[in-house]
Amino acid sequence: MNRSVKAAACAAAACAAGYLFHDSKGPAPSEERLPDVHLPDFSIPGLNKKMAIVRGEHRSEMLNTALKALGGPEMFIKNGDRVLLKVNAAFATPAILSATSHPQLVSELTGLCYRAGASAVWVTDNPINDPASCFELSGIAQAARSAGAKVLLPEAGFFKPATVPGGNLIRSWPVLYEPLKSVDKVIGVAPVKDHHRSGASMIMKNWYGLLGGRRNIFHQDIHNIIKELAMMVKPSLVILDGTTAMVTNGPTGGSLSDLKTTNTMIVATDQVAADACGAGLIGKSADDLPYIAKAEAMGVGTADYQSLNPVFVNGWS
Amino acid sequence: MMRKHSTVKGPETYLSLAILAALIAIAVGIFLAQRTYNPAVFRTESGLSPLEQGAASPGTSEKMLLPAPPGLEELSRPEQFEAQTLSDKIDGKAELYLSAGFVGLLTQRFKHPNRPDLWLEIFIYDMGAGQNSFAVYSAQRRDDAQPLDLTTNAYRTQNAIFFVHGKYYLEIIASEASEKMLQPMMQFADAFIGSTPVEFEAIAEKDLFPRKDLIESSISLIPADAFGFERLNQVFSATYQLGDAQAMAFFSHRKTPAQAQELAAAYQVFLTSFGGRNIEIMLPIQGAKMVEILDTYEIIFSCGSYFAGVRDLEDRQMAEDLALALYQKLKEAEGES
Amino acid sequence: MKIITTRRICQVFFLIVFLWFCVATTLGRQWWQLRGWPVNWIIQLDPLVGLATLLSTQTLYAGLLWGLATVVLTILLGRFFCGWVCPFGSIHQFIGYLAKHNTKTAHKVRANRYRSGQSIKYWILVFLLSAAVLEIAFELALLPLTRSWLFGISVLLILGIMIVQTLRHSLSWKTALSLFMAITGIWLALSLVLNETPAPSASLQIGLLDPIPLFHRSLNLILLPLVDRTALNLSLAPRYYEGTWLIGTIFIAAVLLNLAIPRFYCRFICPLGALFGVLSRYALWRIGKSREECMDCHLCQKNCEGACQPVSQIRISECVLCLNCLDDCHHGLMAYQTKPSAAGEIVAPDLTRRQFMASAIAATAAVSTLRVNGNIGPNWKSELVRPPGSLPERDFLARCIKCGQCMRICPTNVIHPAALEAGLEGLWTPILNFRIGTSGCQFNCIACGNLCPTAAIRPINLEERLGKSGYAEKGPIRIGTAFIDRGRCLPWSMDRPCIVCQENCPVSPKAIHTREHFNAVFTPKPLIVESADSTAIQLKHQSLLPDRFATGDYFCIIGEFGSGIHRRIVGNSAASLEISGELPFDSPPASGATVDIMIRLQQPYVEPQHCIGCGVCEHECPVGGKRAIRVTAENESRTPEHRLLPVS
Repeated sequence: MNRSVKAAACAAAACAAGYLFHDSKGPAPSEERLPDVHLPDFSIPGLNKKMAIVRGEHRSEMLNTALKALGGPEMFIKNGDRVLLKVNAAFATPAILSATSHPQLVSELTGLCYRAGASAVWVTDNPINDPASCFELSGIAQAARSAGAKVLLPEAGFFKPATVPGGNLIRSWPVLYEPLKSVDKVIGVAPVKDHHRSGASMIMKNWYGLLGGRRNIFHQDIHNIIKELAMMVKPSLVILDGTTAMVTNGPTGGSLSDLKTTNTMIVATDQVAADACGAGLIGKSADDLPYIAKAEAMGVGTADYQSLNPVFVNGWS
Repeated sequence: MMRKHSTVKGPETYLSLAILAALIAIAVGIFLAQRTYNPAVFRTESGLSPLEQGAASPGTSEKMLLPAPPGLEELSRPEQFEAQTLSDKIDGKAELYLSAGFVGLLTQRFKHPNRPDLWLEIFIYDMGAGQNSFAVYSAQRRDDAQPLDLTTNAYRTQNAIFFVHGKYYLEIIASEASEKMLQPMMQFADAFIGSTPVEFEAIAEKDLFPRKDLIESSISLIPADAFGFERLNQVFSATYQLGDAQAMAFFSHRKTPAQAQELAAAYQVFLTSFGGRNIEIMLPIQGAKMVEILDTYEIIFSCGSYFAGVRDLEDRQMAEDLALALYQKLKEAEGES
Repeated sequence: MKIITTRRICQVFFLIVFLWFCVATTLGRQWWQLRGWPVNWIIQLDPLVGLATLLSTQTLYAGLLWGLATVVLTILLGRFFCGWVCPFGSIHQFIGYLAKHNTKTAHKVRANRYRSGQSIKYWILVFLLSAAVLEIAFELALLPLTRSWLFGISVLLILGIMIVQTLRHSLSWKTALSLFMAITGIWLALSLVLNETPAPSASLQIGLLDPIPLFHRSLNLILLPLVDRTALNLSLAPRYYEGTWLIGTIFIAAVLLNLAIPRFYCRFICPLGALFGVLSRYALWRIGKSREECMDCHLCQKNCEGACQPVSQIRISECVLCLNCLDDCHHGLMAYQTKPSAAGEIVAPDLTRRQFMASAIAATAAVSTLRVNGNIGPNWKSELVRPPGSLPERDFLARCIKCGQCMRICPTNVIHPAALEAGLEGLWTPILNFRIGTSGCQFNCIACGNLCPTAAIRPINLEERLGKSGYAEKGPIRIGTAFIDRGRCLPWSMDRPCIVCQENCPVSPKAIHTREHFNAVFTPKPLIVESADSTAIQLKHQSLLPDRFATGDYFCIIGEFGSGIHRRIVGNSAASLEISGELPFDSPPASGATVDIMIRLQQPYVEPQHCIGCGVCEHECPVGGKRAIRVTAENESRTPEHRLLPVS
């Protein structure tokens, strides 16, 4: 009997040990998953309904005119600010094909930021295919260098998983976080382009360049991803360059005959309004672009850009 | 010596039977377990990883790109893209190619030795079949296209040349609209055409369009989602200049006459669901239907294995005339086949 | 039905199941291939694997929970596993039977007598478990410093035990006090001395002698490859494994020793049997004499498999429940009963405290000595390319039981048992050899990790292997990097065009790129132009081998190197060269000019940030002996310290 008790005790101890230490999943890969990051809100309080629409021929002049109409660059850039210019450098195509942000605009904007007191200006984008070539061949790298801005090429360690609250697609998805976490102001700079999939590629679509990973799967749900991108990034200012609009065969274009001279520059603090206004330059309306309505419904901005009382300037010299 | 069977005790037999039952249970358990596959057994569908597939298509090897355009030197290494990675290169436009049967893309950049800002990029799209390369060529045809003498389907714009050669669709895009670049671009194109054997695929369908008032350069092949209806794929369309107005004729070859008829009926339902109004017509075309939608007339019919029709016409009589002309041509083709 | 018949059926059943599992360890969906067959089940039933990995990793991995069933049944019933289940034991029993069955009874009885050497297996068990418990022991030694409160409680406990023993007069109070002071003092001293030492990881060596992994290894690496070459053809290509002579020798020796003493391995060596012997101490039912009237005929020992001396005081820890004695006793004395044997029994294994301590300390010393080798640290061997998904070496050596399942399942036969590349500890652990096998480590294969019974190779999914979706930032799993041996590579050192490695590189973008390079071809006489037109050159002398330069890789230039344009040669005869029409001469070379023939080589370079070490390049390299491109373990994902590049 003594023996049975001892036997039972041993058996129980063995079972307890087995249960306590049981590990059904096995060892994890050596690096842990990092907690999600949250993008800071770069919008400037009290300035969320500003918009200027300038017509003219030269980008630098139009940019200056637009900013002056909104109160000058000092409204947006304070002394000592570190500024990030999120440009469109998605393709290694020459600047004349207008598939990327125009180098002239980049250098002029950089100069304006410095004159307004910025302590540092960075230029970044994440084209998946050969980022160095894209920045060089589009002329943006040269423009940035000559104006004193630093080009930040994406590196693997710059990406951290982020989740958009209320979003379904951007969940723990790698986002180009490193430049965003160390700046004070973010300015989106994008050309007006037709887009084969989404209808148009302007300011909101431009944030796609902040996504990492195999982001192309989101093309299957293009309007929702653009909406979530607009929810994720709250910029200080957006500059939609409609001097030359790509009206066909976007987003790559390829021929000068895909372009139309539309001579318009839109500067605003409401990215939805900017896109709604820019749609007209490629012959579309906000209703033709479902992502605009979706973003508006989520409170990102307003599609009725007229309600912002935009300042119109006819800046022909 | 040994115990006789009769002296084997009951408990021993019961125990034996119990143990044997346990063994059978174990065997059954093992057999059931083998139905749930070990994850190791799964590999990517084709047995090759998607990346291996890209590497395994020797047709798009470097050999094709050997002749640099004369006078130019290499600016970047040749790059290869396949279906999964195409959007890395051309982003949203990938969809156009993917829905048209894209197989692979080879690109490379070349520059002028003395002028670094004068460079060009060559895109060679392997679309798998002549029909597909024609589809993407025609879908992106620019308005100011000047026809070129390279192949039957070739044109240039200020800074680029575009052409089809068999199953390949090529774009050669220069960084400037300069005549200086045109010569090496044309020479490369010639060399490519000369050195790349292709099966001669005459797109005979193009000749099925009635010739009167046809805008020749408008013939295109819509690979998918024609006119917003997802069932309309591989649709040839052409634009006609009828006086001041323009109209479009279209047709698509289906597998069987029954399928062509069914597709015509389905398209009609599609149009009426978007506000189209059915209109009675009397045409010597069997089964023809007319729909008025958005202030224009569309006529839909099937002829043998062809699904066909005309659209975008404001004048009803013109619509009927054009439809009839198309029908005649298709009937001839069907009669021959 | 006689219980012995059932026992035989049971042994045959498990042997067949074991053999079937070994056969089914082939990747595929056919009925005779892996599918979902639980091919690791018998390893999982083995509680020594479970216990040892529990000690070395402080976890009990997944299916090893099955060992709990064996443990509980052994506690209740005795060493049933040895006599009824263990396939290795069945082999030994059978060979022993063949050796002895025609001999005289007296001979058989003598063969099955208890020998004191049977306690060796307990030393082996203690030795192996001590090596596995090293990490825990070390943490325990540091307890006074890391968790002083726990140390305090332990001290009080020891004090309590000493007091109790004194009160019960088992120890004098002087002895008790000195013992207490000694234990506490040594413990404190140890913790202070070892405070600075980095914690050693455990060393799992049970796989060397545990019968189930041993049998798997021998079958997987020797017997099954032999079967593969017969009509049964389980594997697509014949399989080869390096270093199998030692494995084979041990296996054959173990089997043949049964000719001398039946169940030699089980009685003298098997640590699993030793573990069962320890566990069966409180078995509810045990073999014994039901009455005292024994005639001393010793017939019960005639077929005794465990050599547990049933004639006198039966040793419960040796009895393997073969139940042969039940029938052999003519007087029906032997029974499987709850009460102890009428002739007395010995429950404890024949292991003295001194022997226990000696084994334990020997193991500690052995592992510590081996670790001075530095194989886990700075002296790591770059030939040690481990399968994808392997844990870092420290943890790997604490988990691998050297069963060879990964080597058998690998579809391309690149996983092999290591010799000394991983040190003596790593003997027979998996290492990749790309020269053997049908291809490199296949890019989209996740077989080895999903089969490893102890997760020494983690079970990974395809996304992690390829670096897709959620793992896109980390990138694909790398097991090493390819290095080009320029002294052996054909385009680098022998002027022969070859880009086989670049063509076969499976990743996209490719991890091997080539740079064009032109080398002058040596011609015995200089080539002087006699006459030339736009696409042909006639030479003054006849010195060329006809058509030698027509392969498309040869070019000619006129004038100095580096200044002329290379023109491709499309044909030649003994004294003429024909140039390709792509680039004809604008002005043909003048008579008397020198022509140089250049060979165009594409010299390969490896891109370390893209190379995953899959070894296809090494496998395909036409330099067949020592390959001109070889993969070594630099930049493997599992060891950040082996990184080649500053950013991973």
